[in-house]
Amino acid sequence: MSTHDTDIPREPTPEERAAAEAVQALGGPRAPEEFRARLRTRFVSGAIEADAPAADPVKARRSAPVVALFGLAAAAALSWLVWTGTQPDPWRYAGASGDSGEVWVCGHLMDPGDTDGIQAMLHAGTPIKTTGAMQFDYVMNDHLSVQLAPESEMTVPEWPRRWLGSTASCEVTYGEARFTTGPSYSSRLLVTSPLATIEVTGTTLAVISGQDSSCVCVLDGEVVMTDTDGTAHVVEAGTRRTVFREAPAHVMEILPMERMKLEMHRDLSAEQ
Amino acid sequence: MPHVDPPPEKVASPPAGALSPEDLMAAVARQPEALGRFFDHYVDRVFGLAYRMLGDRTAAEDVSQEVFLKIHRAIDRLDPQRDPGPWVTTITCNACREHWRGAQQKMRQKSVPLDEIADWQDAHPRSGDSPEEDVLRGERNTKVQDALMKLPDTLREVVILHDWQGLRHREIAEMLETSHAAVRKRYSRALEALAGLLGERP
Repeated sequence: MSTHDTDIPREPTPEERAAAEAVQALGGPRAPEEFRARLRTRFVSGAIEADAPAADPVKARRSAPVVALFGLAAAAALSWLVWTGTQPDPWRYAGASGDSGEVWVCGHLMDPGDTDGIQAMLHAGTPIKTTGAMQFDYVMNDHLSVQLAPESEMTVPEWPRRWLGSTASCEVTYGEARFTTGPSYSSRLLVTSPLATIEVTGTTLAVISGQDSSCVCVLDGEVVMTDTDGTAHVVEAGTRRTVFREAPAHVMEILPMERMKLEMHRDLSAEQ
Repeated sequence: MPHVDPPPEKVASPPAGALSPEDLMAAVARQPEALGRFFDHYVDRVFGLAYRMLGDRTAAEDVSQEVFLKIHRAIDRLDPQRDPGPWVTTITCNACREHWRGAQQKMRQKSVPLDEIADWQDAHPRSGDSPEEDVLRGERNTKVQDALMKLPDTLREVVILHDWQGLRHREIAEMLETSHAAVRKRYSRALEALAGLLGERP
């Protein structure tokens, strides 16, 4: 049954060969006649689609308490919004490093050692740019840690008081940004790049924006990458997915260097 | 509860020959006869793969329905010049993954009513084999399926697609949207684990 290729990382042991043969020898179970006949009729007639939108009884049962709780949740969220609206921006400048290069925040050339000056300008939506070998780190305690790599530009993500179950976003305009979510992270953040949108839901990853390609490298967890045509793809830990402006996307393993950088960023985030 | 093996492929062989481009064009146009031929051609492949992935008849039926619903919705976008097999297999794999994520699977994995299994087995005896051979084959297949079900989902998926479905690692990588190397590694780990499980004494 199988076109058994032998391109596995090492030669299988006799026991492993026997296991493979045992799987190959398994029969192909036939769909039960009654089920087959019923499904065939619905497929051929189109009734399969007509029946599909029927209410899911489990969801229906769930909906009543959900509606009942919605009012309470909305009231709590509104109170929280009012409270957080008076709080200072939680982004904290964690430092910039590099033998050469510059840091630009909101269009201003900044001295990397001017912690207070940079901190004062670090708000949601603010553009940050690095040149030369300069790298820029900022964190939102226990939520999210972000590192802008050299020769890159991005906007500062919105922060929790604006998340409220909806979607916050930031943009990696060009170059590379690394994200590590913290223990208190529970929100949804969309990172946009010119050719794709990446949904961060709890992980360590890098988003790389090139002139004709966008790439996401996932170290931990998994993320959803949505291409400009609207198709969504799950990118798993240990892999990178690259979309191109004029070529098919591909998925490969993370490069060792990128893995190392992401591991360093994750470790650094744990210390911050 | 061990997994009882359904009747084997000799009973379930699909209609001979591939679907012609004309058949596929008619299916794209949603002509009932062509849709019927399409269904007959793929139903056992879909059900069989779902059963091997999920180890449960009811779950395999649920997934098969879901797969044919998706096929019906998207069939007008099918390219009649290309073999729809990989597309159907991909939809089935994705539906199995969605099923794994659902809480229902955890409940259903625990049990299948004995009488239901007995009725199903009796309804599909395999011709040509003695009752003893049927029993032995059933026991052997049950043991292998049980071992498969003990593998993590991502490993089981790869070993079934490779050894049972007959796909090459590169094809699996494309289907699962992962790298060739990752599939090879998963397959190697799956075989190692499976060999260990099959080597255990009952």
